[in-house]
Amino acid sequence: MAESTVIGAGTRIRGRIHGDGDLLVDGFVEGDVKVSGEVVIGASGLVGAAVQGSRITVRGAVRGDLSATLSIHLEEGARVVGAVRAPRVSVASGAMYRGILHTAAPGEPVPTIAGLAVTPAVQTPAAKAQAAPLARPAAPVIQAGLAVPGRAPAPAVIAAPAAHAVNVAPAAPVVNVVNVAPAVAPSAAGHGFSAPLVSATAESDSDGENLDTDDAEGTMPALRRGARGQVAKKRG
Amino acid sequence: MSTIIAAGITVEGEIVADEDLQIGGTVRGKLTSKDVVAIEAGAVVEADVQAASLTIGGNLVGNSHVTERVDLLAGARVIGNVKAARITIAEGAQFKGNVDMDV
Amino acid sequence: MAESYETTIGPRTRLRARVHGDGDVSLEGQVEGNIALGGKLTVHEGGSVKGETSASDVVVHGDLEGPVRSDGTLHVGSTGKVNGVVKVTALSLDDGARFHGQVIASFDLPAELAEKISAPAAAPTVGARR
Repeated sequence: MAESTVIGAGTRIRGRIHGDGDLLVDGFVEGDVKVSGEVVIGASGLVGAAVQGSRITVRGAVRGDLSATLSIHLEEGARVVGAVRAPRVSVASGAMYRGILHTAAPGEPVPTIAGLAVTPAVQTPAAKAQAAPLARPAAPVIQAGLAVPGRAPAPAVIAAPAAHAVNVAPAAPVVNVVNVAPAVAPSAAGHGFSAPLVSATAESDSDGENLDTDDAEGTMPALRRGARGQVAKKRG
Repeated sequence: MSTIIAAGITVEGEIVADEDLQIGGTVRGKLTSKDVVAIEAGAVVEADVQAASLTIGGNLVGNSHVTERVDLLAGARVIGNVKAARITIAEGAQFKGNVDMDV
Repeated sequence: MAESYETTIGPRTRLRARVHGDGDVSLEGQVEGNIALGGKLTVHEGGSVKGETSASDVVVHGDLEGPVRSDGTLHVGSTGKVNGVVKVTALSLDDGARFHGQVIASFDLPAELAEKISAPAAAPTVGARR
């Protein structure tokens, strides 16, 4: 990772990150990440969206689907909630994970999971918009368009050489790298950010892997039946 | 190589082995081995047994069909019919059933 | 003689049965049926389980198909293959392991990533759990 892009600790990015090359996230990224190279989410790194790369290593926390063409490694201290898919996956002891995990290349057909009661989480866009995190205290001020080539006065933390592009997606309507006020962000801003994120998440929903794994017992019918039985006994 | 069902473990169903079977725990159902089956002292077997040979030091309730020999050791308690070429019953073994030494 | 050996299902043994008890089980053969152990289940390379498994810890170097429950760790070695819904306290997967499953685990993400659950959606779940 000689020329990797680094999202430093204390930096927060709302918006998609995509491009060639490698990426190290020690800060907070709230939009989808899609790079051709390796993605490392450091111990202080937080990602609240899908991550795609050739190889993904997580030591920090991710809420979102991870997909890699080669391998995914969840190392000690990692906390990941979301679908994981790569031909090779390792989960170290001391890593915490929940979600649907397939050791298969992205796009490759996968066997059905024995005993999985698929209850796709029906979440309305509104619900997702509500769920989108809004405030984080003491985030640094970084202006929109920062990473776009030709306009890169990069204050310290974004280390991408202009030619070595990890770009903020030009397609996304509300793409920016923002200053988040320490107080609760105004709701208008919240809507603005949520719109592209919602559509992106909806896409990944369509492959049926983005289950609401928080409802743990709902997906294990036998266990739930058992639990109910106990409850019934107690009440009876 | 062999299969061992240790004390404290219960198997309910069918066991098919192409190797020795040593039972110290509980087996209910059906038990088939092409080699030696040993039911140890303390073991509880409630099953029909097919084996090349059978040694019983524990409890067996069920019929056994053995191609070679059956040995009931002292302390064995067997209820069921035994079909075998040879059979020994040690002093102190309990046995209730028929023996068929098909000559 | 009956002392400290563990239960072993040899490579040339097939069980179509329910296996339960307090001890450990070392599996080199095939089990078709549910396994419920107070101890540890080790599925060696070549060994396979088709059924529901619960054990204090589960180690898989062979094949395991079906739901797994453990208050301990599910470890899948590089030759291991697991397919099922897995509810364990800890999961570790060696590089090369094959896994197709849902992992259910309870832990919190950092506050920044914590999902805000809207009250109406949460209500029935909470009710059912209590």
